[in-house]
Amino acid sequence: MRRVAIIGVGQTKFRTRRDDATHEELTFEGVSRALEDAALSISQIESFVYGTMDPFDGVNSPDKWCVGGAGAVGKPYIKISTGGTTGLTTGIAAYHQVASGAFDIAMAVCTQRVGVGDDAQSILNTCVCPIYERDAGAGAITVGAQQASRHMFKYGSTDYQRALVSVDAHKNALNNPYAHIQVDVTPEDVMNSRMIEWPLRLLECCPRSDGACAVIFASEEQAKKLCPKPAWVWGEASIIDSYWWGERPDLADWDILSLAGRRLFKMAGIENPIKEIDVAELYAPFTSQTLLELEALGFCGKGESGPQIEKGVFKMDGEMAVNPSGGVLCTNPIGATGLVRLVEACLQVTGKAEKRQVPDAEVALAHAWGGTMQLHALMIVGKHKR
Amino acid sequence: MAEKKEEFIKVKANWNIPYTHSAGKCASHFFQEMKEKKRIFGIRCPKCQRVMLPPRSFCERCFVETTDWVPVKDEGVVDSVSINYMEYTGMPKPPYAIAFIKLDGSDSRLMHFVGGVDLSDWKKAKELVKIGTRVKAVWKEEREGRMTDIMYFKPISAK
Amino acid sequence: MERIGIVGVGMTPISSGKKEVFYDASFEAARRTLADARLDQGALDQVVTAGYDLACGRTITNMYTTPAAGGYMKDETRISDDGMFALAQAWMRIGAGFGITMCLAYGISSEAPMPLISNLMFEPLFHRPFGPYSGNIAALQASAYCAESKAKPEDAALVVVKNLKQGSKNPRSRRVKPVTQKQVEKSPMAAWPLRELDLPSYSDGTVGLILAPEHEAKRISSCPIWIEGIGWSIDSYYLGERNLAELKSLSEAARRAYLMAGIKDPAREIQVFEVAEQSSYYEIMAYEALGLISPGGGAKLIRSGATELSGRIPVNPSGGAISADPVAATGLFRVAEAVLQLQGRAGKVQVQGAKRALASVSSGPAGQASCVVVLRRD
Repeated sequence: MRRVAIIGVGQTKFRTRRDDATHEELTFEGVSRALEDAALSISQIESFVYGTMDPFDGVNSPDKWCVGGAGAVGKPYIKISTGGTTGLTTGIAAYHQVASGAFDIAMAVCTQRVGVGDDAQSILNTCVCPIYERDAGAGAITVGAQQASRHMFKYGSTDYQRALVSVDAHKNALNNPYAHIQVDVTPEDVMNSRMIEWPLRLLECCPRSDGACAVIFASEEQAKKLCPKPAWVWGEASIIDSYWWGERPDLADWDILSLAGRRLFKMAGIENPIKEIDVAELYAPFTSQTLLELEALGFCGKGESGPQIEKGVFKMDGEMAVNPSGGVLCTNPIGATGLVRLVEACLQVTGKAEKRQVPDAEVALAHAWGGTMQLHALMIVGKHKR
Repeated sequence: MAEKKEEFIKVKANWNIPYTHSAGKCASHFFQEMKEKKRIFGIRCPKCQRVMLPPRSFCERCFVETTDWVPVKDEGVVDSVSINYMEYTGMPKPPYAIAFIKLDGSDSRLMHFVGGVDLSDWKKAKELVKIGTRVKAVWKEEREGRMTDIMYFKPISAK
Repeated sequence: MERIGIVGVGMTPISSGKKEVFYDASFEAARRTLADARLDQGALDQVVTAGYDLACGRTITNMYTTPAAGGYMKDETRISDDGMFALAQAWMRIGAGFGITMCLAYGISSEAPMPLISNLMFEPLFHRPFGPYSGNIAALQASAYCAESKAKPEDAALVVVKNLKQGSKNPRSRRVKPVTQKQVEKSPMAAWPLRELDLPSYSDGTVGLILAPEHEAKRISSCPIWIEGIGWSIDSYYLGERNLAELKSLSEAARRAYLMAGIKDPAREIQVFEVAEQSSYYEIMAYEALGLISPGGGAKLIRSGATELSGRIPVNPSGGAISADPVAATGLFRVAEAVLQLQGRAGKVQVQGAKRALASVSSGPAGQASCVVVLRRD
């Protein structure tokens, strides 16, 4: 297995709708930004991996439509769809293409237009088993709400602690020109916002966003030639739990993420996550999930995330910055969201995060979850080689 | 590209795809029992012995076929719950509460509605359907062999 | 990169569906695959699946199929395309360090109206309102090819006769009766110039392969089948900007696979070809794209009988997609058939003494994307 670096990243500004561009054109925009960042031409990209979740865009396999926008006509091109993890599993796929030696330079591209569907929740409901569970009307919010209610019940986390997650995310998003929602909110704003699915309120839920992003992976040899400041890939992991969420040991604990995290940390040589990792970009479209993820990945003990959040441990100037981009709570182009996490992680360790730069960030983690809380994908990138 | 500012055209499209889903032999039996006898069955993994609900034809953990049907009571305990107040296209009319319910005799939890109580005000509703509440199935008179043959699970304490 | 071998093959029967839930088919195929390799599910390091969500009527179908394929709590990914693309990604994942791998494709065509599903691959702005789908676009391609090459409907009918003759002998077929050229020419016109029998037979079918790096493969199997070359490529979406008379992505995929395998003259160096034909005409065009004959010579090749089971370069001894087309698994079924050929386990459709085989697939309208793999036994 070869060492791999990320030599370019790009993303579009995310918005509720991008009426000015087609899906294909958005793809082009994201890819172009990554090429600019890497100072490469499209002809230098040897292979492409395209990720999206089909139903949101109202086109079956939009990869076929968007191949031109990706710049992949006549080249190897593979389509990945794994739910909310899609963005990151697309990145992982491009990483494997280079790590294996099959290609020297590969690009991961993700585009998603959640705004095309008149109602994203009715599309999310199509994830749910039509035989046993779909009639219950469950959607993605149900996942976050069930976890929230269970976490409150088991560990005593509070509405206020979840509100702080939202406040921090919104403050960070103000410094990220690509973020979708850019408003300053107070804990009171969050706790007085409209009830969506108890116990989650409006400002505890992500928006639905349109946009695209791309990440360019290169072999060590090519990275040295082409990029003065690459982000080095330290490790990756993906995992799947049972579909049947009624069989999880406890919805307050994201055990399958803990297991994936242990595999990731072993591969990346991380022994004490909170000490060794400077930035974590966590996939948390709902406030409750930040709590569960921090605990599952060992950034704090079980049930301790709420109090630690109150202490400011995960703020920009805390012990480990969580979601300096503003996170999924402020921007969620579903099938691209996981790759956006990786884009931000790379920007942080290469010192390109501008107003939202975490000082001296050297190691960053990107995470995504999907399905009925059952799928996870993770990657760690570093300023230095591991 | 023309300099003149033009309106961005939006083309309406709609997915209306009919599907015929196979329930498979396992769920077919399960639904038949619900339809004809108002009975709920879990299925036991011969290896790890857990009783799975909803039942499937194999245990993905042990990777063996499941064989033994096990009767499960139509009442149990709410293990987690959420209450919906937003309306979405093609989805149930709010308010409605979704819960995972651990039925007596099952090792897993079943997703269903909790109902039969006033859910219109979440402040009151969350007290009525909270975790730990014992609930019992309210069956439809006319059943067709699907999950909605049970209208909802009703808190036993509710009048 | 260490050599990677196929050490287990398992397939569900081909069916018209509507009997079992689709992930039960994944479980069945995976069990057969594991049994073929004499492995326990615990031996799997990862699972790579392929399938189409829309055809299954569920979003994120790997939520169901990956655990059913033995992936519970394992590393996984899912390709939303034909299973041969999953084979390509699995091959690279193993190259990057993974061990024993389940690669599984679930082809479900019975639960949704497939033409509509295919129609939805076209964006709504420019193409979709006109009702294009895989069948009528294959017809468009056939007429473009005929115009350029002088191939005739009789030539295409010969492909159907050949493939259904094979399909009638292969238990993994949906169309089970052989037909005559006359019968083909009398079958209902689907989309001119294609008749019903010129088009693949929508089916349900799930197929699994177990892959392993060489050091593991030799321990597991007495006859591992090595991935000697693999290539894949995609052409433009815009049909109006393509030369429909050629299968550009297929020839590019083949060029890459041949380069890797060191193949210069495929017609001499490869003994069996399993080609997922999108139509009868497509197979004739594929002869040219795969370099079995020079451009324009495809019709001559089918007429010569060289691609029959008993011919010099047998193509689709399994009966191909015209016999059974479990969409999303059709290509990986071709790989499985090729493996059985190389291991001498192809039964009534066995090509004698084959050492090297090729499998190919195209997905998307008019063969937009393609993958080619060259397999070899020691």
